[in-house]
Amino acid sequence: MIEIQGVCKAFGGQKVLDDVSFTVGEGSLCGLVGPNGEGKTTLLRLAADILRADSGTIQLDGKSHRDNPAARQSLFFLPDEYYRLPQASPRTMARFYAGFYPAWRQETFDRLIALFELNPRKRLMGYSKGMQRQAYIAIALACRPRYLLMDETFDGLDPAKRNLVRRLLMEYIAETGASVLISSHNLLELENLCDQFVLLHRHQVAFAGDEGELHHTMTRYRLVFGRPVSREDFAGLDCRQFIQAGNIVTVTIGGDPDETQAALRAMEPTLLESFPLSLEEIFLNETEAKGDDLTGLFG
Amino acid sequence: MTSPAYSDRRVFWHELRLTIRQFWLLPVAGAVYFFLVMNLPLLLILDSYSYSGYANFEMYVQGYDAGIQYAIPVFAGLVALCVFFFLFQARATDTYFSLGVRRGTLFGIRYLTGAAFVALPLLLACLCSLFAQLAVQPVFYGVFFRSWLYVTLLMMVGGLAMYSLAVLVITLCGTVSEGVVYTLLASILPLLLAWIAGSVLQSLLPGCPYGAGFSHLSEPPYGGVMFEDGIPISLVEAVKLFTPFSFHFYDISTFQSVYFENGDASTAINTSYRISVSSPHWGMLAGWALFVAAAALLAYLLFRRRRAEISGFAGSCRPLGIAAAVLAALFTFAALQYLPVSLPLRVLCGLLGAAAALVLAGMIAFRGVGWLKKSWPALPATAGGLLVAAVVLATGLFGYSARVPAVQEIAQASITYHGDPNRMEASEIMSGVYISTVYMPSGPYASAGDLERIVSLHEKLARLPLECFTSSERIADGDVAYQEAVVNGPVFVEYTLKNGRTMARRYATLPLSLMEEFLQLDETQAISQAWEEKLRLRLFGNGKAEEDRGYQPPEDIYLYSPSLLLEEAPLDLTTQEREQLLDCLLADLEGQTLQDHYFPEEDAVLLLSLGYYDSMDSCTLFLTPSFTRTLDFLLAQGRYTLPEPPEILRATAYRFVPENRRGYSCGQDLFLQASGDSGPEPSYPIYDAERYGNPREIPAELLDDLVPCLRSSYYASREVYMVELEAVNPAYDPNAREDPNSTSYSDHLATQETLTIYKLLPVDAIPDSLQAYL
Repeated sequence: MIEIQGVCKAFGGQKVLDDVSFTVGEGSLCGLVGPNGEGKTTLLRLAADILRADSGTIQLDGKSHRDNPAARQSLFFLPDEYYRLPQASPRTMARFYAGFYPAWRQETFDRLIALFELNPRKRLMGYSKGMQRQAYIAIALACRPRYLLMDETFDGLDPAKRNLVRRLLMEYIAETGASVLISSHNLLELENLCDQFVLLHRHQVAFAGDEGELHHTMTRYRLVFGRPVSREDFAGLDCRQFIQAGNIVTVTIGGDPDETQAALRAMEPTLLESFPLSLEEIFLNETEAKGDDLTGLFG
Repeated sequence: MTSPAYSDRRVFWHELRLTIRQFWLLPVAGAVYFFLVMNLPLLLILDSYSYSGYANFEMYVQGYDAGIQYAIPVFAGLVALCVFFFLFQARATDTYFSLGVRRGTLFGIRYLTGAAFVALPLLLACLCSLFAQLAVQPVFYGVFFRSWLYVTLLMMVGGLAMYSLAVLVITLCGTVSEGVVYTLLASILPLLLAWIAGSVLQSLLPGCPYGAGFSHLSEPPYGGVMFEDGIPISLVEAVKLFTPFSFHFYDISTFQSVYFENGDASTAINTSYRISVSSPHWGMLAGWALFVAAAALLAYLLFRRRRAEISGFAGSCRPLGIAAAVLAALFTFAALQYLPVSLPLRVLCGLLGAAAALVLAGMIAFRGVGWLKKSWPALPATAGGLLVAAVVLATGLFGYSARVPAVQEIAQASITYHGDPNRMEASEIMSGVYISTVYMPSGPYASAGDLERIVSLHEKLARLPLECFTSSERIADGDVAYQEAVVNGPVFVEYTLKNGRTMARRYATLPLSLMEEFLQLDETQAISQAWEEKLRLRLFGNGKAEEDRGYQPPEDIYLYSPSLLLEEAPLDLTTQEREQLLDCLLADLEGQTLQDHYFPEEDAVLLLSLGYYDSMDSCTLFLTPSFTRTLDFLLAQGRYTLPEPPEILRATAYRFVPENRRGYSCGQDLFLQASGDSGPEPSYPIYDAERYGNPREIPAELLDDLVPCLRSSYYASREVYMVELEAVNPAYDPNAREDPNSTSYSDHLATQETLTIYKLLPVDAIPDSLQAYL
């Protein structure tokens, strides 16, 4: 279990994380999502004890990971950009990591490399970005960490390999009961993969919970009225998006769906339909800057 | 499941293996390099040892000092940079810091591996030298091993000091360039600060004896030792032994070779200069070993606290960046104090330069001007500090410059100054003749009368207005009258007070009129005694037996025409006659006034040389008619017949401008002495075109007016011309042919139809008929 409690971090006086708290349970795969620059990578580096938090604590199974080699020998941080020794091949890097991880399993590495159809003796600098990523995923999983931190792991992978990695992660968690924290911009990849989500917005946790709870936070409704209506009629609701075409209104509303539906029914629409939002739609509604005037930008 | 202890050990050995595997080429390259410069040349010459008459121990061949000494810190810095290079790469730092190894352990493995990489090649090279020597030495003295051990430890500690310092700096830096630049600055920081302080003190504080001169880093450190001849006490030299980059240079040079000759051991800096074996500086070595430990400990603590986010980012260590910017400002300020302009202008230029350097260095360190938002106070603080320092120093540092001790306080004193005619060391004069006429020590002056004279002169110096030390008025530009001109004339006064303390003052410039007053020192007891010792030594030797060390024989005595310098046989004088000559010389010197000696109204009759005139040890005196007794002794008794004066064909007069030479120079700079053509080499033209300018041809019809006014020696605190004469060579033989193999001066002279003669023409003596031409 990875417990993050009240973590704050600033760089040069600029706040990057502000009182961030959440927990990644055992055997859980937690998706860390949020716009660029909200502190996802920083949070992962803090969790890996690379950076030191200004305040707050991070614990692995109840123990501080701060300069705690035993804890860190069970933790693997798979960054967005990989370190490689000069002239190194996957095999060289595997040897590099194997010495630091007591649970290293060579057979797992060999099988994964074969699964990814990589040549373990070929120099990594000759690999494409996606192939390098596959090699490092193989290394990370062969280290068999109890805590796996992954930054933008799906970037650069082709659809087949993305699917393979999804399956591998699910299998890995199922077999080892590891806690995995994965950040990604590709929300489609995380959907139906993560059992838990943390949404960072404005350097704080905007949402932390499972997928069901996330879907519960926001719903889209289509309403048809027999009389003219305006946005003011929805003033009491947490309207995130409002589109009106005559008497037909499409509105995205945050909050408890049951309470929202009751409030909408009270407005006596002739038709009321609700639609679940995709993860990406929720993400956009939560974080997208609105009202940007793009006219004349290129003219 | 493995135990934590087992895992830690496993990780430890794994990281150690990785580090060695990654960087093993460094010690190999180091070993090869040190073998090539240290061992190979030695091995090639070892054969010759068996034929030498004395035992000789060398760790390397002399001449390779720089290649070894400089290589040690450079190699150590390179190793530190490589072993801790991962700190400059964000990816590598992230990886290493996320691995299951404590930061302290990671540092320890890396540091110790690097330290071994630095020390082992040096140890190997030293062992190789030792075994090679053991193989050829018939007797291996204990002192050899002591020297070997000391130099070996010195090399290793020297390397480790630089390595540890580099590691310490690297743990604070984010980029390679920062690591390199800040390590370099830190390694020579004491030298830099000493240079800045010395330059500023020397330029701004009248009377300050401290300066910033420096010699080669591996030359002897002069820290705390007074330089003679008015060169300031160098702060740079004083901190050589406290500089991580170079503290070991000098002792390595000194102790790396030991010679045994006639049962005495000596160390040699080079083959021509040996000093007795002294005890190695074990204390200094221990001190630097402590420095290594302290630097390593500090680096360990900083490494543990290092913020990973600074890796790959420049300017992330604000204190280092600000310190470097301020250092650049101070350096620029100090460097600009050497500008040849007036003091206020110099300070202003210094302040502007310092501000510009601060901003520029800050922009480089922090990649832009953003740093000024937070650290802008550094700019006014530095400029303000420098301005206050400049004002305080230039106004005499609260009475420091004006302080002159009372005669009663002084036990003894010494004084040297630029125009001191008694300090004419072996050096060229105009004709190329080597004159070491009257080199004498500058004291110590201890009698009450002598001390009163020195204090009186010092008081005059201390009372000189500030402008006198900062004047930029020049005779050459017609700004100032000759005697009022201020020349570079470092005056160095040192008192040993009765309370045991010493007090030293140095004044960089002074007016010629005051310099002339310093000639009064000739009337002191100390100088009279020094004259006697000097002449007695030349005439009778030092009394040692010929086989003794330091034996100095009596010199031959030569007499020349001051105009011609024709080759002569030495005078054959008995010991008794030499005593008589000494008495005559001393009596004449005693009886002469300063006017007679330095501003003679008649030309010299004879040039007396105790020792062959071209010899470095000769003592040469121009005998003017005021040397009455000496001339009587030499001429009236028929010892010598004066040759006829040569016929003068042409004359060209050059104006002497004393202010045109900057920096240190000996007494002959002002006590001008000129004579005839000197030897088989082509005649020297006016050897210093800067100082002898504005040549004027004297019409042939006026040569008769000119010749009686010429002098062979003259003290140039009063205006003087140097005259180049072309004269008929009385020794010319039309049948003589130049023999390229002949070394005889007579043979050469016989082939020359004319000679070049140099003489001096005091302005006071210029006849009216010549006024229009000069």
